[in-house]
Amino acid sequence: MPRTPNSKNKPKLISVKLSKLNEIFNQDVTVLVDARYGPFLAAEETDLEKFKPETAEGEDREDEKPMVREVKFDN
Amino acid sequence: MKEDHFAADFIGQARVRRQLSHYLDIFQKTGVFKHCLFSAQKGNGKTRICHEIGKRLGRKFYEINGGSIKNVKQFYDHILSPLVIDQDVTLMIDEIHALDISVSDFLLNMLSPNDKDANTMRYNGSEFVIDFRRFTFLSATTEPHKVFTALRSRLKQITLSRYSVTDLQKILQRGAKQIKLKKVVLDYLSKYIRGNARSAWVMGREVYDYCDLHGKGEFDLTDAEHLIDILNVYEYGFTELEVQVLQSIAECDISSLTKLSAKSGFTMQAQRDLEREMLGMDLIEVDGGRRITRRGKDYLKRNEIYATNT
Repeated sequence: MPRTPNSKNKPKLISVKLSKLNEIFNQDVTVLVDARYGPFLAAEETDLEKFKPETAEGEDREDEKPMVREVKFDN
Repeated sequence: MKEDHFAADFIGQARVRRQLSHYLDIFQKTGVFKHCLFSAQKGNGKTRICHEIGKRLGRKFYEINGGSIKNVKQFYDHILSPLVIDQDVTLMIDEIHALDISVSDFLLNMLSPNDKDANTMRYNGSEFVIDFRRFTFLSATTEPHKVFTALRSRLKQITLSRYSVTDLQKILQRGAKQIKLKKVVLDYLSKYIRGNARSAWVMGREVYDYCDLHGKGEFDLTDAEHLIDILNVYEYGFTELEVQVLQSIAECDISSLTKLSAKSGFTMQAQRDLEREMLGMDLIEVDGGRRITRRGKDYLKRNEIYATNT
């Protein structure tokens, strides 16, 4: 299975670390999670390139932060 | 009679509400809320109920996906040290079955019940206290049998019940807000939801958005039929994708997962996930291979989907 599908057509497909998901969802972008490829995300915004993983699959991810979300309640 | 702390916010789940209200009464007296593990199928309100508890505990509330915590170092450096130690906090781990075994093992000591309602922990030369009067642990899973057994025994296991059709229709109505739906409309729309609370609420929201878009104050059966047509949804809330999988199974008759994956273009895991609900609804059976049932064939027929073998 390719890590990044090699299509030049939009939407642009990039792979993204799970811990970067929050940064993506806080922006005005369209995100497509392709169920066939699991961790790969597709987005139309080319500047999302900056979210490319710094480590390849299988490398040491010890420094990767877990996804933590603070939930605020309306009281 | 104990107060139902959740009555205003929750439809259904009466037994769970009663149990949690009891624990909230204890919390108000002792400051300790039981560490819980909620199990239910997806969309049945596990996360929602954890949030409702969190709201009532009145502390900071952090939610983490179990699969994203890779080891104890990560757990300590990014969660315990900055967010939990010496703070008043509720920590929720969703999909706890995906938690790394070393972290599960660490949690065993952290959550171990005792008379002091506190545990002294040591990690990497640091000593800290987990005081249950300041820290509550909530967790949720769709697969309780995959949660580390010893950890499961430390947690109060609470299984959410299935929603009755009446409750699902109440949830659907709540999603539709002020648009009052007649019984005949609710009955019709109910056929197109997945049998869980989220799906019912989402359908209600579709009704609301439809009325908002068309400037309608009422929503009748003709509107309901029109909406279902627009939403491109099949009976039981199945998507085009799921129907295609069912169709593939009908066409292959007895078929291996590998064969089906090759035919549908989905990975075996994706295929397995897609099949789970169909199994539960008795549309297919798995016995070595996969086979469509009589019920499955009827489903395809009712929805006017044709497979070469049906």
